[in-house]
Amino acid sequence: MTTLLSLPPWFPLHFVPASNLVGILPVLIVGGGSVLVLLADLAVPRRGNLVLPVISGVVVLGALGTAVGQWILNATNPVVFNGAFADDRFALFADFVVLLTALAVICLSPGYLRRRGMEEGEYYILLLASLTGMLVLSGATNLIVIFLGVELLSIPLYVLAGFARDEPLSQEAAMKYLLLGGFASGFLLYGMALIYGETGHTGLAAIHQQLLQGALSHSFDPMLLAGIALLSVGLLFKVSAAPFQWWTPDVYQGSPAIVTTFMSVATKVAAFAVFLRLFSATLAPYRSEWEVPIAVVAIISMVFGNLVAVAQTSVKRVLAYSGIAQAGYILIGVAVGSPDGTQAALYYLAAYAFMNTGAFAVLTILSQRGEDCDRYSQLAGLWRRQPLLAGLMALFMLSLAGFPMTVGFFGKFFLFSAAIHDGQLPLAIWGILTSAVSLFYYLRVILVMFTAVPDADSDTAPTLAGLSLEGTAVASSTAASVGIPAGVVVVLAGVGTVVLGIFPALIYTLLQGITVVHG
Amino acid sequence: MNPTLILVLSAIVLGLPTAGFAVSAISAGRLPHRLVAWTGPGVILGAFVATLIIFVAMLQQPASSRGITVVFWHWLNTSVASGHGVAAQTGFNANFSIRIDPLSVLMMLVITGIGGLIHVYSVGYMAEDPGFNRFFAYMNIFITSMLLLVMSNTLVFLVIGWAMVAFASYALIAFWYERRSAVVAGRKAFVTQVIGDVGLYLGAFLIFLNLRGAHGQLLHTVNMQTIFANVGPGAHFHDGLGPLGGGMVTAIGILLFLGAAAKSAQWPLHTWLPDAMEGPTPVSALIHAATMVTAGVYLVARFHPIYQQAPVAAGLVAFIGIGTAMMAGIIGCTQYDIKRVIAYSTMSQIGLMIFAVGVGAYSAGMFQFFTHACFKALLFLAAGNVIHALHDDQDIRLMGGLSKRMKATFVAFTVGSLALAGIPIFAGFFSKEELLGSGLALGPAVPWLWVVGVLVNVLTSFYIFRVVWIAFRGEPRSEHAEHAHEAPLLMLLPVLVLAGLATVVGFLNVDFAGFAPITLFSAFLKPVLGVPAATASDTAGALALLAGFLLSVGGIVLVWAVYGRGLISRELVPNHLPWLYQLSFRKFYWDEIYDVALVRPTVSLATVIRRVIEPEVMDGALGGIRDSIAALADDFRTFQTGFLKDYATWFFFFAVVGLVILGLRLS
Repeated sequence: MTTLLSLPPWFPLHFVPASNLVGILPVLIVGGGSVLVLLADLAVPRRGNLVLPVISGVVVLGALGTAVGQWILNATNPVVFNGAFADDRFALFADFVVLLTALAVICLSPGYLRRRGMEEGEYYILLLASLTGMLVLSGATNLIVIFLGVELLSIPLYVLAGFARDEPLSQEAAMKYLLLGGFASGFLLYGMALIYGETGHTGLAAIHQQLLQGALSHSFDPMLLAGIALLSVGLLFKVSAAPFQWWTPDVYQGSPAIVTTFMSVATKVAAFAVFLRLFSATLAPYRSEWEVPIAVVAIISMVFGNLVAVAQTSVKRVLAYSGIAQAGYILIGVAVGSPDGTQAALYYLAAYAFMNTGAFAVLTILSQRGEDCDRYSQLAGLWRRQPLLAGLMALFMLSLAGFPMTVGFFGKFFLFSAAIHDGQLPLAIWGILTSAVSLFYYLRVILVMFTAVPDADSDTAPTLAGLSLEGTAVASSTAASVGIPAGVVVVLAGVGTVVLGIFPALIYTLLQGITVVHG
Repeated sequence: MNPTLILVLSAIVLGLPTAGFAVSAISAGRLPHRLVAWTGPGVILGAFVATLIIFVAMLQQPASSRGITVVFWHWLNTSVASGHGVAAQTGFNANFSIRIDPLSVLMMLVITGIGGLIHVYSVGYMAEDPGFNRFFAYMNIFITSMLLLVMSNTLVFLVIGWAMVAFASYALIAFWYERRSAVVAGRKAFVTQVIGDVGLYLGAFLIFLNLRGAHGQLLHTVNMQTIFANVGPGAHFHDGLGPLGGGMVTAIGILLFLGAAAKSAQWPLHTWLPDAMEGPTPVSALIHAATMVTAGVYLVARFHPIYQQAPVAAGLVAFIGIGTAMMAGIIGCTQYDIKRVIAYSTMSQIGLMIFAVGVGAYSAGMFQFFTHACFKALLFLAAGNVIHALHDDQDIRLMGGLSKRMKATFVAFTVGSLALAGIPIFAGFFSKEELLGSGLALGPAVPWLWVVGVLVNVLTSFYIFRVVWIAFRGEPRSEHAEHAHEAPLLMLLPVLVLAGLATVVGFLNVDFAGFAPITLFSAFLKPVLGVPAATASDTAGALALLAGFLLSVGGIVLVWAVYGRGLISRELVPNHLPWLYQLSFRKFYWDEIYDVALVRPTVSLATVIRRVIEPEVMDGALGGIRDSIAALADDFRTFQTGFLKDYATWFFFFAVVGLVILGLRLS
């Protein structure tokens, strides 16, 4: 415990050591920001202004700047609030990815919400609240805090999933997500209860010590194992790994595209952060027990996700199943358990943020009043109408499929390489085989964009302001401008996808210094 | 040398042409030609300036410290991904690293310098072409690829540059894609390149797999400096056969040469080069003078530590080189297309270079490369002026009398011809005599390879002055030739610069037969290439010099006698030795032989595959896989009913299954 005298006496938290507050500074900024947006929403007129997104963007930028500053200044602190939270580089890396994704989503939001007629202030409040939960989750080192983070993350998302209030699909998605999410939380909580019951601790460090003793004497506590299993089920639900993925396609399809963007990337990153922290650090002594089950779940996810995606006709559903498959790939990194595996999984998460945000961003840009861009037919002939958007979408698809010279290639390369070095060849083989299957549906998107004839009704798709190439946009009189921020986001995602595919070391060197701690 | 400075400068050298490519390509015809007319040549000249700075910085260093390896970034590195100490040794680390040393700087100077002049020339030559921007996009990416090839310090990026050169040459040869012959020629060049590429890939892969270090351990490296350090003499001998094993190193040498032969148009992969004349003339100058065809010479010189360990492979290289030189010389004597004659002369001259690097006279081979780049670019560009003036007529029988109408071009072409023929004071004389002198000293015990090399001289001067005589002297034989005009200044200027170079660069290295030695050139390359194992004695050298010179002059005299005075009938050879004439005129029938032996069987095989194997076997199998995947997908998706109760049930079911399995395992 460091000094607590630096705070002024009127400060309400003067009993809290300042270092603790520094440790959760990004969480405080985003959490406070959501309250700020709540208040601002009362003050400003409702529709058509950019006050709320600008405030939200500044808040996220502030949190991002704080996190970057902590990383650069090496001002990390693995023990915050008596070990309930860790402000280490692992958490900071996950924060970067989550915050960047959130920033991208905020940039995409105003245009999308306007086109879909959903300009409600609550949107930004809920977004920031969910983001707070994600930031809590990335550094959580106590079971209670983990649960807190999961719920704080989920509850705003339940609302956001149903944000298109007059669309039955959106309402259905919200309802399914809420009920199944509650169901999964039950498993999570039950698992935590069992672990607490057996070890008498909720702190991950203390639990680790207990496990270590058990593992040394080769006596694995069955109740503890059951607790770990139930906890895993709860988390596997959040990362949408098969066979606990049931909610994913329906919710991804039903939710507004912008919410799906946020949900598919940021949620997955935050949930995997806690997953990796638990398994590669806290539960490491029991690795012989969980290694095979996690590997099996990884394989089921890769097979199920990639196979069923082939049979889909909705692009959002395709991306949902692709997300299930991607969860399977990242689980390879968890199952491998070595530092290589953890680094590879983190690399993949960063890669996933670029390519998946990019892919969904294209869908949000193409979404029009009344419905999201979701059918293949809406993408048909996109190359003729919007060569830049079509080219970028093709790039994201190739990256998701793992083509060389894209970031997705190195994501898969590092994961498979870690699996092979760890002697888990079957995992790599399954990964490669299912990647081949994934080409079926990724390339189909490209095929449709570049060959098929556009629908008559999709001519009104908006152009990318200032970026659309001359002479290619049809029906320019009806085309609405998307705005610069959305265009910048999708172009930057494309640039990141390519640049990190050529210079993978830009991220990999960041990851080399990361060791996972658990309080 | 300051590594940071070198890093920045070499990034500029590689980056500028790439940026030029990007500008021309992305604009895709939208940018005005006038802008691309500046950026296209400008980026290359900028790269040339950066190269010059590197060159000057290098000259200020002592000879021993003129080599530097700069790592740009780590691209693929499995030893990082593994992180374990043991795996780090078996890991595969492909850095993007470049090697700056006298050899690569020489290549860079020629590529950017001569290449830059050709770019300037192209602005004039292509001015009326609708594909102006596309042309400069291809030209710039070609320069980038070539620079990558010579600068790379890893086999991986060497291979990438090698393949990119093949692609860029394909694009340039088939530039006028509406002309069927151009497309076919481009395709032929590309297919030939790919055959060579496979050789290079296999050779590189064998090095990667088999190279052993000082303690007999497998190195598994793609770093070329590490490879050379471990392959040379004095390295640890493994199994008594050298670090690679005797047969292995010979196989590697031959495979690498397969790649070199395709790029440098050496027998048996030479047939693409004459057809490549379908491309615009600046392309011919770029590909056949300064860059692509010399890549093979560079490759053998760069990998000379391997060839020094593989005498059989090196001998084969020398043999093929001299054979190609002779064959191409004979063919050149009977062709009528002005560009084809020059193309065969290129093949012949490159053959001599390959011969030189084969016998171990690396520096002499590179010197010939250097002077050849100057005078051959000159010949092509001067020929380009002629073709431009004659509205794309290339047949010398339709020319005549051009010396009066295009004086400057005539002078330039003659200077180039004198240099090519090896007439004293012109560049070709010094380089060729040094090359043949080294050949005499280093060749096999019986100097018959040298004899062949000297005989090539007479052919060279005969075929090139035959062109000079028929095309430039006499009376115009066509409407176009009658009204030919001198080329505009933009096209004349590069030609005149090259004519100056072709006259003087020979004096950089005057080192044969006891002459007062000037060894600026060979001393510059010595840190990389070493010195030849032997040099000819002064007497032998002087005799060789005299023989070479007399034969060169003899060729010119022969042209004068045949075409000037008519002392010897033009029909002499066709009438009395018809088989020789036909052999030459039909280019030794290689196209026909390949057509019967390779192309037709391949086409027949492909037809069978297309008609039988593809629909029945491949499509059947693939379709089967596709159908079963689709069927599986349909089966699986039925689980996803959309009903919440089902989802919750499945969720619960699988959680319970997990727990049950856990319980069974524990009990």
